Amino acid sequence: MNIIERVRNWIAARFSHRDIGVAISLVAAPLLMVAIPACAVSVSPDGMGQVLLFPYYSASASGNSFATLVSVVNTTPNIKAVRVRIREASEGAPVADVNVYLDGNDVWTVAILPTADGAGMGTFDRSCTLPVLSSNVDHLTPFNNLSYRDGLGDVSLDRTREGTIEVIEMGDYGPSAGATGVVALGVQHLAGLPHDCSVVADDTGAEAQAPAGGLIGSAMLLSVSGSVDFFYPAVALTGFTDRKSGFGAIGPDTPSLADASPPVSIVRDATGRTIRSEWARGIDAVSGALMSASIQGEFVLEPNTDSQTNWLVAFPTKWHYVHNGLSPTAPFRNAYGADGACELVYNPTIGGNIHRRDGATPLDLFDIPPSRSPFALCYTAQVASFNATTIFPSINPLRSTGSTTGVPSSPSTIATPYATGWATLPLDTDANDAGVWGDAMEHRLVSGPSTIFNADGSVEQRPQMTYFGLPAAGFAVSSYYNGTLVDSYGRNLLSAYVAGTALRNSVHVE
Amino acid sequence: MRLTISIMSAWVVGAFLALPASGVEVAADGFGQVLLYPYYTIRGSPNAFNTLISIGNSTPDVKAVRLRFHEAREGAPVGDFNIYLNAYAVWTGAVFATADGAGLASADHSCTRPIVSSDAVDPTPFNNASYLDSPDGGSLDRTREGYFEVIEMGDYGPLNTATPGSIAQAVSHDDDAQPIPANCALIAQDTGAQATAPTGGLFGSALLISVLGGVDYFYAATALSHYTDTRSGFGTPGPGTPSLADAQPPVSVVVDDMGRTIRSQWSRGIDAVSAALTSVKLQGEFVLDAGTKSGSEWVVTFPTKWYYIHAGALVAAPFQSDFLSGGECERILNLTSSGVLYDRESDFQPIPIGLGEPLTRGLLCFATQSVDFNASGVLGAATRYTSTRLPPMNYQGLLVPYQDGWMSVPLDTESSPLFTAGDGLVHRAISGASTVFEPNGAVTSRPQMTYFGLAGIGFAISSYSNGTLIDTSGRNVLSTYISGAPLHGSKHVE
Repeated sequence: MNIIERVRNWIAARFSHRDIGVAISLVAAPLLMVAIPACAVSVSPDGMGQVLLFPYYSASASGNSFATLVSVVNTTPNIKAVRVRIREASEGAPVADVNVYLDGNDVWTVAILPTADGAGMGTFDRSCTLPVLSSNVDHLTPFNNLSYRDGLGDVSLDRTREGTIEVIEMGDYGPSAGATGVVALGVQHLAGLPHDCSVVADDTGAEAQAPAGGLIGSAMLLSVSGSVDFFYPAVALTGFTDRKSGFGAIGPDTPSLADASPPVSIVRDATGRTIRSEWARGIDAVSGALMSASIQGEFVLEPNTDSQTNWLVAFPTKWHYVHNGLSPTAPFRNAYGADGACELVYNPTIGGNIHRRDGATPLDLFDIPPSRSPFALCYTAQVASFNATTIFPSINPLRSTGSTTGVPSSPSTIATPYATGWATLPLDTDANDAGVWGDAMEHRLVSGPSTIFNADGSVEQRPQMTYFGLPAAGFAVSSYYNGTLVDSYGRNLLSAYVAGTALRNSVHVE
Repeated sequence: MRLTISIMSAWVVGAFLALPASGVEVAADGFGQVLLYPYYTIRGSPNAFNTLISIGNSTPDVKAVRLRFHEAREGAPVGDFNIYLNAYAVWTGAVFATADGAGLASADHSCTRPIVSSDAVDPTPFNNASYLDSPDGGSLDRTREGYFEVIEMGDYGPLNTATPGSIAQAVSHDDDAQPIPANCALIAQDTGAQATAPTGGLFGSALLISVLGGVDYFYAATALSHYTDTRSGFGTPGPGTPSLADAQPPVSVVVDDMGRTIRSQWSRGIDAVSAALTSVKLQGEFVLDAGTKSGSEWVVTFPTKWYYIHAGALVAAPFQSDFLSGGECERILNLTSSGVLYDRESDFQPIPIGLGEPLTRGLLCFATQSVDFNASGVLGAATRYTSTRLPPMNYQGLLVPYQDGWMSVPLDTESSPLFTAGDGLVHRAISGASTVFEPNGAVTSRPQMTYFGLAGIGFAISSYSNGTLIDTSGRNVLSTYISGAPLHGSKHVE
């Protein structure tokens, strides 16, 4: 065993203890960084990490209005600073940035609600934040349109009523118990209240270490009057960075998903391989970790339960690849315009990708316009409805187009004659064999040097690998109505029920 | 330098290990050969639940799968069904009440063995044959909640190449042209001879729904991929085979909290499955706000427990079974007083000090149990967490002084931030030869590794009730809302 292996094994043995003291971390971290990159970004199978991605929030004010209730849990005993960034759905433009200081074992909650002309957030949570957030639901801290007000199409605040949320750990201040730093002592809770939140205004991060992860998150999309709620866990990224970041003036640029350091991704594919790839840019490492060749989910459209189905499809990194003024780079292809930046994907009704529950012959020639046109995924977060049913009111629908550039496009829906079933939405031509649109639907990202840990335990090196599809996350939600029932207490009951789960994403890397 | 280390490590691995093809793992994408559903129930008072089941086949191949239900107390098998899934088909069924227990009914047309009732009022009943002599009692009431699993038995190849008279052709159907399968009778003679080894691609979900309670929770099944390279389970369906003990080769693959991919060999298939599912702790949130009449109940299921301990069987690691408590209870740290329960402002209940008597322990006594917060009874589970140790056992759940917060259920002493305790709380399994793929690309070999914790999966759900509202259409709305998510496990392997 040479010296490097000794050091690595020593570190590996000690780092296995999640709750190990900060002293060992301080010793070990520099050693790790000298020898080899310490971390690589991957989607956490356990939903715990340095970064949390929430594919959708809604504060829609049309129809049955929605609110979104978000919680972020720090499962570690350490004090942490995290950036919470809200992005509107159309372009992915940042509309709010907040630094939140979590005590060890703390939960932070916030609600996103409609305002008169847009949306904003408010919280009853006591944790220190910068800026200070409203605790008055009638006077929320509003989202802004600074990042897109000079753009194309609709630049109103209405756009802020839907979008995505990202939480990025900025730094770790060590265990709350026995804390000594000025910031740690200020943000630490005593009997539920922080000592002195004024310390966060001047925090340069000097007392913080690199992020250590252990965050989990969830969100609830709630329409009280519509009696609809859907609760989902956030997608967590582990091994995101070995550097603290984002201190000082708060802005939309840093920390960001582009900061993955080192720019290395790890994914596991369906054949049981672990694939580690190096990238030129941090954002590509994050996209590599999220890459989906196709996404799959179920739908329910039964008339007797008045069922409806919406899929939510989000591209958390899209802003970094294309927006107004930024030309698209792979895996995204098309420029941003008044209807968004439209990526073409197969209409699943053509390729045999919609299945009814009894299986049998996949529907292949279901010729109801516009089913033969490709679908266009034009937004950072879009609502793909089935048979034009609505659960989440949205100005960012699935679209269809007859043009390889995605312009023009028009709102569309996944049309199916089936009452129940499942569907696959291919995000690259490779995931579908009905290739009539050729390159226009090809979405791929090519990595640098890669290492494959095969299912049989053997290892291969490759100079590069191709990641197929788009970096996607989302969920499939169905609602059911039974009309008015009377429950066992004699109360009237609208009886609306919601079923939903994350879209299943297939990983394809060659 | 990095490249050199990696390549050298690969040579070392190649030189010393015979390499089985794959290893069982929890599928990140939710597709697999095995589906684990941590909970079914028809309990709940006054408004009872039903459990709606779906099993999907995402492949163009016809497949046979075993659907097996286990009751909650011991994990005893109570119902076995072979289901022949058409290409791309989703099979649906539901658990309904019988006079003294529970049973399965389905309106699906797929061939099954035995035939499943299509009458929700008279479902095919679950049985107590596997636990009739149990000291816990042989009542059919035990079948009213539990967990279930789906195990792929074999793959009959693509439907579109099926030959006349074959099993694949006999079980296929199409709601337009041929709603009823051609010849379900043929499966009674199916020896599996036409089937190849399982190929995976199954997905599943379940809906726990109390229609009159206005409560429903939907969850995706936990999928295991690369489970086996051998077809199994043909003939008369019984509780013996196929089972979670059949993982072949007995190899597990997990990704731990540090991003390492760890591949371990085991002497038994059941240990490989347990390793793939093992967590050192399970974490989730709870909400008990008085203003929204909230309640929380968690479900924790050990899908492999039956194979380690049940009435009349000797206990095997990682299970220890606290025989003092009169059941098959696993001792864990007391959830209220061990510093694992926090309110949203990170307050926690300290350990009682100086009481002059041993700390009480928490007990997880069942294959499937709920952790019921402040007797919320959201699910109305009968098998619950308890901290009492002396008979008569009172599975009262958990008393929490907070309105909302989060909790970490420690499944080994290792995960406690505040103290370590005796051996009775230690749950660990030791593997055979292992290979570790580090986040930096290096590969190391170990003669063995220790897996900390227990093979537990589950979810945390909370309910909210707003009383009666009027919606925008002028309709009365009970306005009960449910939030829920899988428990977050933490992997610790050394």
